[in-house]
Amino acid sequence: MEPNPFAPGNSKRVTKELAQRSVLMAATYSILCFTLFIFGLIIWRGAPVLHQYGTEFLTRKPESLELVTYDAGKQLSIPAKSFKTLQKYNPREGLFTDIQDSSRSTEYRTFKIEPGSVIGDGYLSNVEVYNNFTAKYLKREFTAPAGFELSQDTEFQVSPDSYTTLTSQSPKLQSFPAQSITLESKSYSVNFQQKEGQMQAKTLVKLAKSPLIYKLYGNLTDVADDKPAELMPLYIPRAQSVLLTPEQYQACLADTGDFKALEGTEVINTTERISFTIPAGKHTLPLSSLKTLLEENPAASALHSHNLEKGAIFLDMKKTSDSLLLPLSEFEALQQDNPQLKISDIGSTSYESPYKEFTLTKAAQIKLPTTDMSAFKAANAGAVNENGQPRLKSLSEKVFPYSAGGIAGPILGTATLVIACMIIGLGIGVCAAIFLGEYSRQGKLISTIRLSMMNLAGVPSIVFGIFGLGLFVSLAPKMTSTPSIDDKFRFPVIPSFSQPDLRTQEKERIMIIDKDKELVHQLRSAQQQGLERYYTGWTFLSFQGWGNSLIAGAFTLAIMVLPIIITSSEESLRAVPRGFREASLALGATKWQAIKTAVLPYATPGILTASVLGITRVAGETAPIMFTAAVAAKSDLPTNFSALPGVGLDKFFSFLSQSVQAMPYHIYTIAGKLPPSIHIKPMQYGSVLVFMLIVMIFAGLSVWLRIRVRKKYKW
Amino acid sequence: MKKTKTDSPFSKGKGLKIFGIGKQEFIKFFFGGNAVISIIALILISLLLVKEAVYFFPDYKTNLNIYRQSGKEFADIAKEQLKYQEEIASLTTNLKQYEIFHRAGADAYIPQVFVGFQNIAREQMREEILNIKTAKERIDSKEIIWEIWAEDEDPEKQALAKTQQAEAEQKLTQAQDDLTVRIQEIAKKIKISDLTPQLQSKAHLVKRDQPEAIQKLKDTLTELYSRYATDSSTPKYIKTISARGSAKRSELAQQPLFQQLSGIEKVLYASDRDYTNYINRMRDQTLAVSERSYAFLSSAAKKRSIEQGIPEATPEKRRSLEIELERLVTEDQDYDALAQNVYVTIPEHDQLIEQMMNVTTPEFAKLPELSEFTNRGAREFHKELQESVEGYEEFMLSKNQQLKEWRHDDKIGFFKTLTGFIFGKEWVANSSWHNFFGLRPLFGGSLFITLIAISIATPFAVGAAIYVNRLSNPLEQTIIKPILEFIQAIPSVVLAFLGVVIVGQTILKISYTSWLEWVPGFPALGEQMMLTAGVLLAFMAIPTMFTLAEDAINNVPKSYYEASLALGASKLETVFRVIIPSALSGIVAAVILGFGRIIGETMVVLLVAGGTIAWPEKITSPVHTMTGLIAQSTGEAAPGSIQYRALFLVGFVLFLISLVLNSLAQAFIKRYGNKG
Repeated sequence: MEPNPFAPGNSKRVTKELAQRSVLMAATYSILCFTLFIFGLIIWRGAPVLHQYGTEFLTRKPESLELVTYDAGKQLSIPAKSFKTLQKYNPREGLFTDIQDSSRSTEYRTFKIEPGSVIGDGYLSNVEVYNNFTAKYLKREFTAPAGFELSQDTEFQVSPDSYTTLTSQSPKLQSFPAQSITLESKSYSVNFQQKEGQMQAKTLVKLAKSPLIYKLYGNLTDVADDKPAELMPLYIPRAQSVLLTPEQYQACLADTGDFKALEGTEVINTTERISFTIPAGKHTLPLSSLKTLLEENPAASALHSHNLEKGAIFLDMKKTSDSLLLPLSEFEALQQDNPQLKISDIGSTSYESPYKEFTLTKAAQIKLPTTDMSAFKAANAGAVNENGQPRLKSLSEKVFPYSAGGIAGPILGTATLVIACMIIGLGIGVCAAIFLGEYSRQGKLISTIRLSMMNLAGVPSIVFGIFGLGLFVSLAPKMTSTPSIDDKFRFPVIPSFSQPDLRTQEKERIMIIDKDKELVHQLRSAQQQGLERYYTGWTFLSFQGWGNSLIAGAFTLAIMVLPIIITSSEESLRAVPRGFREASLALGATKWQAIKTAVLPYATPGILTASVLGITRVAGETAPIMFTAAVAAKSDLPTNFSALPGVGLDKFFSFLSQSVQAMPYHIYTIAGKLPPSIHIKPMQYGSVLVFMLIVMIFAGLSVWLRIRVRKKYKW
Repeated sequence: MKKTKTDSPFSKGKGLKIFGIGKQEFIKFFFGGNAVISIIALILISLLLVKEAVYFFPDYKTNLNIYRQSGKEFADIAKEQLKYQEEIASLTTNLKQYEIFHRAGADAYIPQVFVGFQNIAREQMREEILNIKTAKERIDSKEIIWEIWAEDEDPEKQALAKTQQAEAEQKLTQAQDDLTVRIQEIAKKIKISDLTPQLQSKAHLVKRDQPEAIQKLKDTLTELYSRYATDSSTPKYIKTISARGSAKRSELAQQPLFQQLSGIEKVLYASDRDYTNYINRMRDQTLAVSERSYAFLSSAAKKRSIEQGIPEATPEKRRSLEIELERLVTEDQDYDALAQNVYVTIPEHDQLIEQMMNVTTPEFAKLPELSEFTNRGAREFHKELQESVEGYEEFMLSKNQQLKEWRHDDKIGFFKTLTGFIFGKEWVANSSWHNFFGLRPLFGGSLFITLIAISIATPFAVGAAIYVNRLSNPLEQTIIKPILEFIQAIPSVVLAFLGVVIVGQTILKISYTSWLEWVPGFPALGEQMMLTAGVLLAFMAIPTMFTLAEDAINNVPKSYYEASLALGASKLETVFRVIIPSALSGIVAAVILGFGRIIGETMVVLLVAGGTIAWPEKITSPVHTMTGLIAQSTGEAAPGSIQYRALFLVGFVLFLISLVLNSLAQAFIKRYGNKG
């Protein structure tokens, strides 16, 4: 130590200072270098991806990439649209030659459906898929005739009782020669002693359906999936004699546990059956008869799209439908299989769709997104070349999930999430800032608010995530006439007079509660049937949560971003000079008028900066939306309103309560959950680059806005 | 525009009043209500988390009590003895293997390095290899037709068969030629540094022992792919080398040192057979008891639910429900009687242990000296083995004593449940043995990652703050500050992604450089480890810490600075001896807030920390953290289950940590605020 710390400089001291200075400088610039490295890497690896896929990267949904190795072939055809994708995904010289335009036409039929029609489920959904058409159900019934097709002569066996019913319902069946036969079925009567021991999980799965009374310790479903041979502790509380099917009996015999040596006595049941053969071809029978036939002969295969469980649909239509359209073959099936469907105004039309034909010059691995690959395969299905071999011969196939397409879904999802979140966050945040900045006087309440805000800002984002899960996803109140069966509690608010129609009941699994019977019993029974909601004739405020939804995620994010918005908005309010308010008040304005006219206009740019800062934060967060809003895969875009159920306000609510894909969660999925492969790499870098661009634009905007505001408003 | 009754826009209209609340008050209350939302949110968060925590402890208490009553605890203590025995045996094996492989030289690694080279080459020659494959396939698939055609009477078909066959063979030859050219190019370029880090170190060993081997490997690679179309089997050179390697090893195994080790190994592995059977029996027995307890616990709720469903069920469904009802476990067990089954086995256990020790202990004396081992790994194993051997008898006897003192009816109270959660060593959910929810390994993971990140970030952030605020020129300031703001805006999932694709690999590679061998934990075993997460989180925390530290330095009164200069101090002396001490509390607050930011970060640790739930031993261990576990498991846990509640409780712990850190930072800021 020198006696005087401030002694005049010698060379040693200068060197020391220089060293200190360089260390500090190195610390600073290494941060910058690392940042540049990161940005550089993302741009360097991401830009070629964007260049290759172009705008399609933004407009396509994420898809699986199919890698199929095809042998060389001529005259391969593909829809013109998919051909562009083909070229984009396989940018190699000389692979595709002899490219020619061609076209294919598809024949359609136009028709109208008259009121009072009866139609099968499969046929109706077909009509709905091809047309923008939704029908309500009046009722379901089994008496309507239903058409079906047998591809070969089929023998049916039914019990004598059923045969009588069948022939009375449809006399046509009598024309097929019938003979009566006797069937023998075996079962085994097995005596079980009172015993404690072990049994294999796979045997227990089989025995679950038998009438044997036993006490099982342990969770069967868990074990049976992982290790079917695992022994499980079992207790048979009393001696019993049980009838087992041959399958159950065999399983018991094969069991390696303590219950294996079970001698059973064979019991033979004889049943009378009546057998007849229906020739191949198209037939029509009442739906109930068809149901009986097929239920008693599970091996028989009949071609139809009726719903044998629930019956045919009696359509609820007031007037004739608009003109509808179906491809020719589907229309014929519709007409033949639904004799009670009233169709009028049949016309025909055809559409041309452009195709490309090309030659694949050598065997090569072709990359295409799933949708395009299936279009390519479908276009060449059945086509053969001069040697009688299929034109398109695939040698090997591989699928890589999420490795093709683009990021349309995640981008739109993030945008909707951010907008919804900012509407909520700004609404609450700015009001809170006005109160804190303008109305409040220093006091206990204010200091508590400030303290809690400070603490809220420090809470880890994952804690907001589980908070959102606990509150918004599974507890938040919802006004509904069809509350969920598992809601926490509910208050009846007003009577509801709009009982959900049959179609809604089926689709949303709603139980209509019978007022004369015990509610709890009906609910339990509904639960055991797999129903999810119920209707009692009241509208409830039901605490069932909003589910994994846009709105739950938006609220979670909004609470997270509140401290940022409040602090920065308050700061910009405080920056407006006191004189403005005082002048305004002195002129006789009320407090609110003063704020509205003399403060807010000058604080708006600052609030804008705060909101942009909030957007940057919200858009990048993954943890809070993991369990509240985000899903990894979704087929529809969130803004595809036509696919959302409901009309008007209902549609808006179902928009809010859908789950969405989101950019950060998408990146987490493709970078963290899927195995690394060279095919997913471009998707990773492309998504990250776009995501970073968006976030950085907002970050830049907030920096620029702040500088501008500071320059513009100097008082 | 709205018009009030009087024309003046600023008239204080009496207006409508409801319950004495006029328009102005209403506006005020409206704004005030919104401000209170932050308090409400905070209260709701704590309530929600506390609720689950309150439900968790009784559940966990039951869980732990079943663990004890059923005798599982007894079985686990006894199993620790078995583990100790097995550990000694496996250490002996490792000791032997490492030394043998070391003495046998590089032969063992050559085939592995070759496979590594082959993979690199194949990756680059994908297209050429595919061409050969399809050409071969074409010949194979058409050969039958050609054979039929060749014997056809029609001369045209005969000719066609010949030309087609010739054409196909021509294509194959062409493809092989392409491949030959390509492999010659590639083999020249291939480098050891292209290999994965684990293989790299092996390749270096090969190079040291047999300098010519690497070139020979490249030649073999060329040779293999030059005849790929006709014969793609493993090259002869590789086969010879691996045969030579295993021959050398079996020859070495005949040496007295290894003979002796093998002898010990054999005895050790044979010694615990009876004891293993005993442990398995105890585990099965106690597991059955505990499964029964759980079945009984859940039966009451199930019973109610089934009974309520019966009246409204269809007759068919009703029958099956009635059977299900009868199958429910309705009576609890007599634990005292069941525990006798456990106590009864203590003499058997002691006898088995004694038997095992009698067989094992004489073998320990036969262990070779440390000086006989040359390999570094083997020497480390030897040390570890010596330690285990020294503690052997003490460990076994202490566990015996513990088993004698064990009581099944020692009830676990609330306090023990709490400590069981906080200090529990294991976090196991959905286990087939027993579920434990112990925070310790998760907290350890979080804490150590945070410490690593903080110790990396602090020098950079504080150094940059000092430099930017006091030493840089204005131009640097205007560039650096916005850039740091941009860093703050980088989403964490993007950093996590970079960790997955590049940072992890880079750190792994660095850990294999020879002059860094002294760092504890190097070389690392995988890309996912604490260090990777620490580096990324450090980068993430730098902007926060920089901003706060720079603020603190900036707030030091100008007079301090000027006074110091006036006394003759240089600029840097002033910075280090005057400014930093004055801003110290602010800098500490910055570090604390950075700490809070890092410990609460989720995505980076989820993707790059490794996901192994264990107390970290070195900076390269893979770990799991509190945040990572919540993110990973919450989706799988059924709402209301004990695991779900445990996860909420972990969330609550995180929440508390963030509150404590925040208040701590506030306290520091207040202190330095007073100085100004």
